[in-house]
Amino acid sequence: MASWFLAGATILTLVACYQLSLWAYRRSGAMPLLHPVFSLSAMVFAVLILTPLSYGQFMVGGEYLLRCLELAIVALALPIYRSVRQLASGFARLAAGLAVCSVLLGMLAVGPLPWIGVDETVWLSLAPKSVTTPVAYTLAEMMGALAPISALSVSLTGAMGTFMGPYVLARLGVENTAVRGLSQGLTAHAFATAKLLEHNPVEAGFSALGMGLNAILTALWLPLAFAAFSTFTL
Amino acid sequence: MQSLKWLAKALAMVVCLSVFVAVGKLLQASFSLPFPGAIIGMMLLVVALTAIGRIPDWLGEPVDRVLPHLSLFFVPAIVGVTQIDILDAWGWLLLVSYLLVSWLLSLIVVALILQRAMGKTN
Repeated sequence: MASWFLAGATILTLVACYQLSLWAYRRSGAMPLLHPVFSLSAMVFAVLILTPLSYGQFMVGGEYLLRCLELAIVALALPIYRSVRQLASGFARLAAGLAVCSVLLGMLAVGPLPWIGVDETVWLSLAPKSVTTPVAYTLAEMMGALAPISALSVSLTGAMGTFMGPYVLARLGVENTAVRGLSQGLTAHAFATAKLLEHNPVEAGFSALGMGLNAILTALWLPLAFAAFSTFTL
Repeated sequence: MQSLKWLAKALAMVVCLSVFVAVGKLLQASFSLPFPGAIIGMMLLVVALTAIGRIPDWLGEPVDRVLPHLSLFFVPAIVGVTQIDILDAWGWLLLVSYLLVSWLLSLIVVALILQRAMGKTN
C-alpha cells in the first residue's frame, strides 16, 4: 500500500516537474541546457542529495517510467512506418548503407580501448553506445558488461548528438533531410528523435528509422561478434 | 465527452502497445532470440501497419501526442548514474572526452556514407 502511494506520488511529482521544465525550456527559446532531459534530471539529483529520499525509493516510481520505455520503443514503429513508406524505392540501397554504418559505429565506439589497457568490462559496455538506451542496456547485460556504464554512455552520447549534431551536419554541408535525420538517429538515437519531434517531424521520422534499424542491426551483429571474440581469446 | 473519447483512445493505445511488447517478449523467450522483446514488438508493429496500409486513428492520434514527451521516460535511466562507483573523477572525465571524440567521428563517418548511399536516389 505504502509503495503504491510512493510510486504514484513520485510519478505525479515528476510529471508536474516535467511540465514546469518544459515551460521553462520553451520560454528560454529552446536553450539546449534547459532541455527537460537535463533540467529534470538535475532536479531529481538535487532531491536525492538534499532530501532523505533515496535512489531506491525514487525508483519504486521510476521503475514504472522505465517500463514505459518499452511501450515507447514499440510506438516508434509509427514514425518508422511513415518514413519507410516515404523512402520506398531507395530502401534496399539505404539498408546496405545502414548495415555498414551500424558495424562501423560499434567499431568507432570501442576504438583503440582494448589495446590501451582499458578494462574489458568497460570497453564492452561502450560497444552498444550508439543504440537506444533499453536495447544497449540489454545487450550489455547479455555480454556481461557494466550495463549502467552503457546507459550513461548512451545518454551522454545522445545529449551531445542532440545539441551539436545539427551544427556538425551543417558544417559538413549535409542538406538532404533523409541523410540528416538518419545520421542523427544512428548516432544520437532517441534523444535526437525526441528533440526533432518537437519541431521537425519529417527529420524525426528518419531519425526514428535510423535508430530503429541500428538497434535491430546491432542486436544482430554484436552478440555474434562477441561470441567470436570470446572463443578467440579463450 | 471529448475528454472521454481521448481517454478511450489513450487506453486503446496502451493496450495495443502492451500487447506488442508482450508478444515480442514471448517470441524472444521461446526462441531465445538475441534481441530484446520490445524491438521484436516494434518490428511486428511495422509489419502489421504495412499489412493494413495505414495507421488507425485510435493509435496514431495518441501516439503522436505522447511521443514528443519521450524525454520524460529517460530521466530514471539517467538518474541510475548515481549508482555507479567503479570509476573515479579522472576516469569519468576520460570517459566523457572519449565519448565526445567517438561521437564526432561516428557522425561524420555515418553522414558521409549515407550521403553517398542516398546520392543517386535523391
